[in-house]
Amino acid sequence: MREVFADILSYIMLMLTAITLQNSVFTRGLGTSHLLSLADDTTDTFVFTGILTLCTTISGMLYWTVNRFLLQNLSFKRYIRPLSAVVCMSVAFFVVLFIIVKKAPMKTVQKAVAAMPSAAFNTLILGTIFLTENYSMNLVQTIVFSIGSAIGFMVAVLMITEGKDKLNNDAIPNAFKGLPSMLMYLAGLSMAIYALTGHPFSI
Amino acid sequence: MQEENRQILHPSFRGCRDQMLTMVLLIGLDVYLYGPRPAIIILIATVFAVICDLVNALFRRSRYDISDLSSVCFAWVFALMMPASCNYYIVIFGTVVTVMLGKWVFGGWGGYPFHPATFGFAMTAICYSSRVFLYPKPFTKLSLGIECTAKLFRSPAQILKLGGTPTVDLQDLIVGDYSGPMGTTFFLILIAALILLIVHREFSWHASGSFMLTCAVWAFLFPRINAGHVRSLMYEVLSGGIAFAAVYLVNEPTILPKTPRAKLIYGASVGIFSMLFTRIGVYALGNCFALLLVSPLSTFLDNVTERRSRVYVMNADEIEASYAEMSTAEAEGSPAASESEQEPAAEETQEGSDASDDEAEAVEAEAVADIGESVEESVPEEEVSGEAASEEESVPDDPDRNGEEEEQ
Amino acid sequence: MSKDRKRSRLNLSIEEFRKEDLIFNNNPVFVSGLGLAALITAVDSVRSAFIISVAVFIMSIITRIIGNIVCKYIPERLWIMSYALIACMAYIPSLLVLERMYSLNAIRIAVGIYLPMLVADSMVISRAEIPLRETFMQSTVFGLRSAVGFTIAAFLVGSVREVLGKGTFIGTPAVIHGNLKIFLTVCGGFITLSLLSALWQRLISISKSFSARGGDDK
Repeated sequence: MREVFADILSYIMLMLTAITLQNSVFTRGLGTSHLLSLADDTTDTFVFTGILTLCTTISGMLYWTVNRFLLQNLSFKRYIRPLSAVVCMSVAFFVVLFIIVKKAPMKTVQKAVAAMPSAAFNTLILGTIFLTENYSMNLVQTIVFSIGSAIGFMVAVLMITEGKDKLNNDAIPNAFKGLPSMLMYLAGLSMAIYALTGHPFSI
Repeated sequence: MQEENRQILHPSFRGCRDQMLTMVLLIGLDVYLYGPRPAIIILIATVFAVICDLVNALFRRSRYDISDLSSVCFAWVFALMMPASCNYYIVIFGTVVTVMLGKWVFGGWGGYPFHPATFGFAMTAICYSSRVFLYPKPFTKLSLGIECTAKLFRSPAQILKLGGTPTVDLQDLIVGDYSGPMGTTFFLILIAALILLIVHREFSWHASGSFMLTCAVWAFLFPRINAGHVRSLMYEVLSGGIAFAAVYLVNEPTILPKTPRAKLIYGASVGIFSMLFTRIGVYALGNCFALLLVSPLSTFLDNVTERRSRVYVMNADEIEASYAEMSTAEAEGSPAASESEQEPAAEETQEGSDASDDEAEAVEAEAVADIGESVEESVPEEEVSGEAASEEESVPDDPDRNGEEEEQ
Repeated sequence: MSKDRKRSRLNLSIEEFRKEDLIFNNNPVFVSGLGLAALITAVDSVRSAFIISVAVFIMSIITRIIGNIVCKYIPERLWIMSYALIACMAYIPSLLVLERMYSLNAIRIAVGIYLPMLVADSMVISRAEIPLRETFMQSTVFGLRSAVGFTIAAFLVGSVREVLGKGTFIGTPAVIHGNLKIFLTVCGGFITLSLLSALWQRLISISKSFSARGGDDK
């Protein structure tokens, strides 16, 4: 019984780590371009991050299986590693599309389908897949870490939307309007996260 | 005449002046403890803050506003978090980062999402982590060269961080007679400054109070040392720079939420995060990093609490709209009687639209009023009375108090 | 056909040229904010900038050309997916080229997961978000231009971060340098990119005001 609790606790810690200490955006810059474009346009952020969580988890699981049973012993693995990951992401894309079309209410379907392509193919998902492989996680750890990464991205999106109003200020120098001030804002947040660990993570 | 003066002065002038006056005391004590080196550090920070302002004015071809003391104030706040033995180059680096990247990149006073000094301190701490967390003992004469040769020690906060128990007396902790950052050790004076600034209506007690209370409760409940709950409370609160953060960092008026309830939540969350940062994080002073994370959420807190409280904060557009409604209603309702009253209202509206963004923000902050009932009467009155930016902050969502003001 | 194209190129107005200029006026990194993940984290030296740039050069051009052809037969919603799959194919030659220059271990240390991650990077696949097809020449030229724009940005970011963070430039000690650890971290990446893109936008506004003055004189 105690072992089960210890396991559960370790998974919770792993998820918290993925959200904070190893936040995908603030410690590795994953998906920054998408984050910034999300701040600009009017895509529903909750729909986007919901799809992102689903896609990350499913493609992480798929890649774990593929890696375990097919890729592991191949001598030319390094050449087809991204290919297999992207194939997993594509399968996850169709699975999520199917789920949304079948289950979601009509209003969200339109929004979701519009946001699908860029939510399913970005550096966040691919980076998470590679990280779980590098850390040689097991299946449950992979799932937990993927969900944690996606939630970490959601936190970053929320922080960006909160800061956006302040950064639309007319007093900002012309050169710093838009992208540069947003990046400086992200720098401040990532310094705060950096203070938790004190060292950069291996890439 | 007074009105004119107020228009000439920068909106940040009054707050920064008062804060700097209290900081002068801290600097004086530093000079007493360490010799003239702290004064030189502050001087360097001041000079470079002004230079940064001038460079910014040059680049943007704008007028250099000498009454905008905020840069110098932030530079002082930053410098007071450094050790008295700090290398001068580090002070210059931190000041330039504070003023240029922390303040001017976001458009100057009022635009930044986090306190510029926290930005500067965070960057300096990361860059020079091995040098800015070691402090000289009080009453050592520090050399005046660029690199100080005095023997350096860990602060009690650092010892707590490493799992040890500091050996400083309670009396020394309260008076500030132990190695630590230049400004954060003098607990008594900082508390006096806090009370002075609150009494002087510089800011309300909400954020600082809830911040310090949260830190104290946390330190009491979850001690890091084996010496017991009370000693843990003593060491954490007195040596962790909490009083300094409560006076100078938490209460930055442009970042602080507007409603009292939001201020309470804001202070509490800063407290929780700074205690978390001192436990989990790698640097002993967690306040700055906690503030970097929490301060962008102030508008969010405002929005959340606004829905529930009866106090409503209007933004500048809404105020203008309400003025417009007011004047049209008056014009339609009793044209003869309202003729004399209508003119000042119209003038004020125009002033509001002509005024700069900062003034608009002040007006916005000022208009804490129940939108349905008291907008028509209380808002113009408060505006005429002036000094409103500071006064409004102490207006809680207390119906009695609102009533009193209206009666006056 | 090609003659028409040449003439049309010459007849471009300044505004039209600006829209098509992916190196300076519409730099993919500093203006559009593409491909930031790799630049913020992995590119902390000129060497890693070079590795990433070579990969981007090969991958973005091949992907843009083949993707443009393939997209004729694929519905718009799936363009991004097909671009990513094509980029995976293009990754193989780019890794082969890089392996001839550096050892595998050196590549892994310099850029880590950010090299294979380029296949889903917005720098390579963001073209698919615009539902417009282009001719073969256009895709080649634009792919080349955006790759050049990215390369310039990567070199700037890499050299600034290397000089400020490590105190070296392409491995040799730099004359003016700092040992600011922050520039080797993600925070430094954000700060460097922020400052450089501000500088870039300033340069753009200066060039615009110059050309506007030139137009007035005429």
